Amino acid sequence: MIEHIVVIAFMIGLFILSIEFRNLLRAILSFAGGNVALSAILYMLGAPLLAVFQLLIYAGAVTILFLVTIHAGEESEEEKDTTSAKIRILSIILAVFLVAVLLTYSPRIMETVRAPQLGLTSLGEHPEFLWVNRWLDLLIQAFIILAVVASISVQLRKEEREERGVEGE
Amino acid sequence: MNVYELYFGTSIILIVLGLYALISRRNLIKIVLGLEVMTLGVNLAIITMGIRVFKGAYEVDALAQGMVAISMAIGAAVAALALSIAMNIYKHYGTFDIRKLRRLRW
Repeated sequence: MIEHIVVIAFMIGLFILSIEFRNLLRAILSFAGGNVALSAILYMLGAPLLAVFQLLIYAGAVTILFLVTIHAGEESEEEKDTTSAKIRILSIILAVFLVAVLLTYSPRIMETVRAPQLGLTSLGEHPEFLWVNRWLDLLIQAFIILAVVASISVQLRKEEREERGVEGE
Repeated sequence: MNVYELYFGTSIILIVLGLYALISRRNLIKIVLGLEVMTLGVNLAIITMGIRVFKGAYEVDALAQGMVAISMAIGAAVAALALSIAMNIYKHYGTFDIRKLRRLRW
């Protein structure tokens, strides 16, 4: 249990840093570190496939996307401190209140919300369940990813059209 | 404190941390980061609901793993879309600061 607590503390610390750092590059690198810690947690909990996904998708692909965006925006320098003190204090109070309420009620929530047990007896059966019986949700997932790709290409095309319009003028 | 309380508490902290970033930050990149942290918190909550102890070792129910795998792919797609919109906003307004986005017309 101790090792779980240590990794969790490390992960939460990195995520707090990723939100609090003014430098966007440091913030994104902390986010990637937090994802690596979360991947370690998933591995310790006995979900190695998800740990690999976490590393590939979040610590890899999403981090690269963030880096590409800040470099394309050329705003990797210090983020200006524009948040007013009032909003910051209010959001901290709200955050502390939410944590207190949810932690108070979490044992009760855990009693009522529990994923149905599938009766799998060993880890060896999990890959079979994950990949053989998932045709429907994989199909839906493929549609969602296609929709996102289409909307991103629309965004980029709009950008190109605007640039061409500016040149034409 | 058992493993369920520990991980459920962690997921709540992550969700609240993401919410804090959404409320208090003004930079679009930070807001998308907050959104991703919230997604990770929700994923951890789903995983927690599927944890069970099998022969003294932890393992996660396959249904919870399947749901989180879907959620991860969709979370990455949402991040990609949000960042492409952020890039477009930067091209148009020259900043990632959401308070500068006052004109609705493109």
